[in-house]
Amino acid sequence: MHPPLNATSCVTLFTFLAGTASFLLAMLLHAVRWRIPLSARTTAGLFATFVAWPAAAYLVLFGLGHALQSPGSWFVRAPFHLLFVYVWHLALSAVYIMTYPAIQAESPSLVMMLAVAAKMPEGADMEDICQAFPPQSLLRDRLDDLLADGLLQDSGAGYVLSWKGQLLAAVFTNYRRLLGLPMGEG
Amino acid sequence: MTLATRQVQFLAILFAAAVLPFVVHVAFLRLFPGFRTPDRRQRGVMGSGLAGFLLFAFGLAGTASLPAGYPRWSSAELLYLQSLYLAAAYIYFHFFNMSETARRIRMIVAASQDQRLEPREAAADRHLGQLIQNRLDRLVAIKELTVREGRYFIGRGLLIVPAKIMTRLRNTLFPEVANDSAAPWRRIALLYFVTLCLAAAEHQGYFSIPPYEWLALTLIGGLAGVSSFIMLSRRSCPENYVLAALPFLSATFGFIISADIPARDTSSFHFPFFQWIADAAANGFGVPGWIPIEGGIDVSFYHINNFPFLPSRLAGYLIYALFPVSLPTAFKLQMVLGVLFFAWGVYAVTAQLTKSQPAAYWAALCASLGGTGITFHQEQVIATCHLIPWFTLCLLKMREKPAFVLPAGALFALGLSTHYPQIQIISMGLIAGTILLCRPPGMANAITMSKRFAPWLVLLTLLGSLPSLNIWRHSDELAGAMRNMRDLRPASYEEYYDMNILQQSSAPPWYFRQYLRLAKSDDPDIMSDVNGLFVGRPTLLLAATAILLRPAMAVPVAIFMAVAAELTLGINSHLSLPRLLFAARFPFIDVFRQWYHFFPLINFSLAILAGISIQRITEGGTTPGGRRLRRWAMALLVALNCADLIPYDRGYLQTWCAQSPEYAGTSQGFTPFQYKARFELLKADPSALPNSAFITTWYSGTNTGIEAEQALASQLSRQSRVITNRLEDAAADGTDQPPYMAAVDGDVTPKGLAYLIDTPVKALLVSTVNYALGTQALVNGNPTEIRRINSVLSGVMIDAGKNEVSFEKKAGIYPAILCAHLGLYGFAVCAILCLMLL
Repeated sequence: MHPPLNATSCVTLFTFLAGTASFLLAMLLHAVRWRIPLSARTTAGLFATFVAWPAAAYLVLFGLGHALQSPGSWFVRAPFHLLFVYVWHLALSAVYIMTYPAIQAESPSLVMMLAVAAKMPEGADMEDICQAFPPQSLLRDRLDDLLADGLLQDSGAGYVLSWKGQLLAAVFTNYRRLLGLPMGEG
Repeated sequence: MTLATRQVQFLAILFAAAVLPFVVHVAFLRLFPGFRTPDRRQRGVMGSGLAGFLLFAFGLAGTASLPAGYPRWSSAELLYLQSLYLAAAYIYFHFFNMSETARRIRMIVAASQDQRLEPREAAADRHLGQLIQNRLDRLVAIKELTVREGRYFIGRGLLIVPAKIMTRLRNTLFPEVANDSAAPWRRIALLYFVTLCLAAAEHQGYFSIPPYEWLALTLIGGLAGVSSFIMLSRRSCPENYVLAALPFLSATFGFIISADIPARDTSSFHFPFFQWIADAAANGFGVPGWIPIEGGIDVSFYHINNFPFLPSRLAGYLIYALFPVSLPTAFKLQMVLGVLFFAWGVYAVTAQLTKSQPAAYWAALCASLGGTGITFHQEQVIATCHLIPWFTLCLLKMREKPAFVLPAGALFALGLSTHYPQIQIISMGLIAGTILLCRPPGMANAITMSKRFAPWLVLLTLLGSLPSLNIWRHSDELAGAMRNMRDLRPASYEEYYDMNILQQSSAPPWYFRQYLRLAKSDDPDIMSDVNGLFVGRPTLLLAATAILLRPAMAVPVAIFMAVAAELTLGINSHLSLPRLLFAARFPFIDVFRQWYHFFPLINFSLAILAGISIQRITEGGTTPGGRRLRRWAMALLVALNCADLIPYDRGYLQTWCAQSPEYAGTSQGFTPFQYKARFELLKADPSALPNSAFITTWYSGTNTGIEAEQALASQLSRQSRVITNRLEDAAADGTDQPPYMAAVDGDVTPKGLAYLIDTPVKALLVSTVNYALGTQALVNGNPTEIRRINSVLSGVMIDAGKNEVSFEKKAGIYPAILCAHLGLYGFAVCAILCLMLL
């Protein structure tokens, strides 16, 4: 028995389940890939794992469903459902991607919180907090990240912005201008 | 409105949800410039996010008042849109914070303003002190920290938990290990590939001669066991769980890729319901409103008896809907996942008790491979036991963190509405009692500290009970077809005993012999599921040894096992436990007749006992040679156990599949519940229940038309003569005019039944749908009164000509109950993970 497609709802409980499962699978791939030391842990790699590869996988599933006429593939009859599943996957992925810098770059604010918590109840002074950061890691590691992501280029006499870097700088400068705020101080 | 138009409008709202946080924040700062100061910027972005949420929620609610022609969004669609808004708000919040605090953004902007970033300036961290001070000021401003006399103290401390989670995630994603850390994963991948190839080759008949097939299975099983055991890491890591699954997967791989469905309960009961819900899910219906058996029954009544929403089942539906696999394959994959879910729980419990990875590996091996045959034959075994090891783990972990009482409470609550709640309550109660009696160090303190969670536990229990309460609320309407020869609730223990004898509910003592020697499947005197009692003979040896090697740890487990064995014996129990429980009026014990299904607890205990021995064996050895010898001895034991278990599993599965009828793709299945009115009418007058729908003009001799319609209510009751679809009955009625009568076919969908009827006269459509199901009838799109036919069936009057008639079942409150139930699973998983990680 293969009932006709439900013609009344864009989204069902199943949309959430499928999108969440897809996101968890991407997380698993991400965790495995990031544990391999030689693999590139770049922002592009992150987008590939959570956005591009899943999109390609959904397209392949869509094609397979058409080619094999699998009775279980709802995509054959309703590509919009696939789109809504993918949007849910993207939403969860975007939430993770925005959290990722805090994981990868060890958010200084969170490190400070842990440093102070470790010194309770007597509290921590400035020296205790500074000791929580490896020497010169706060900016140097981030510079390496920018070089790895291709946002900065080494011109020999200093670092200059690549076109991607210029684009990103323009986005944030204009964004702060729109809000009526000065640039953040890091 | 067409579906395409609706979907485009939905996409437009989606887009609005995505940009709304940004738009509202911009407007917010324009309206309230006071939120531009550094100490109030965070509050500004959070306040605007909340304002946007309320704006969006009110906007969506307002669409309900729009005139006809505009879409009415379902609850799932509204939830989806609101969830997407929350995701967008979270993303925007981080985007804003990046512009505010991110070091990389600051460096890029600095480079764009100065045209160049000097290396020394970038890397010298000359602003380090200032950067730290800026952040400290921000943390003080938002009251996360307080400062007194130059020292910083934790303020509200809300960021502590996210900080710990971030640190843990960072350690997981960026472990500080040697450069060859990829090697274990490569080796695991290779091992899986080779083993599964061999298993597939065996399945394809390369080793088809029976003696060699047996030999091949033994070799494959031994290889899988030895290889995975040797590669096992000594420290706790996710790779070990993957390795522990390998022998089980090698045993079942051929079965999964075959087209077979195990016979008996699986093919007649579990699989049809899986098919029904999987089809509904795959076709975008979500949860179906009804099960089209015995005239239809509300899907919520199957929550306990057919457990359609276990985690493994959900995975099966997803696999079927997302991948081009057949229904039998998706069904068997979810069974495999269910077994692994249980086995990983046993792994975690044994690791917690023994602090030994080899011991946990062995226990998982026994749990997955032992008794697997019966698991595939009777899928309810998965439902019965899947929560128990995780509940045990939470109780054991309470000594470290009292908050583990919360996931334990959630798992207990889930057990109240999972297959055989009586088994769940008794098993979990026994486990809790055993732990309390043993009084491990720190447990008394943990119990004292966990008392503050009591209100939450009550709430969790209430949430978990909802599906059961829903069934209990309707229990007066229901009858059990299986119990048609006896009353549902016996008055005395003697009656209860007779029922249990009739239903073969309890294991006779000689069943336990199967732990040593498998019963022959062609023996007519044994029950077909007797061989569930098998965990490999090396395991038995090790379990017995555990009492000698680690009595302090093994004896409580052995006592628990003895009680579980008594429960498995049921009415044959030496201690007469059923009589005691019956006399004590244990909740719903009078309707419980599945004592044999306590056997997974015995296998669970044996697995842990064997694990205790393994821990003692592997920990010994003072010289490198001695340790190496013990390791190889262990590998040999693993090989022997796998060689003992895997052919047993395959033999069991082949036997059951050989008995299975060919997969016919039908939704017909056995029902444990049906509506009482139908059940009673079936006993009193089976002719009153037609096999298919029909239209008729025969109303016990009255003429057709309005008069007949008015007379219908008084004529059609159980006391009067019933309407049947047999023409000879109508002819014998003595009317002058022969009646019009014709059978009609309907389309079955997850929402109900639909008919396309062309009738020459005004007539009554008698559908096979139960009146008690509570459907809504639509004739040519118009809601129409449903008439109760023969006190059981549903009928509607239709005019001459073409008519589109449908009976639709609304899901009612069940989706909300289901969401609460699935939410409890999610809560338990998240709570366990968070508490273990933090």
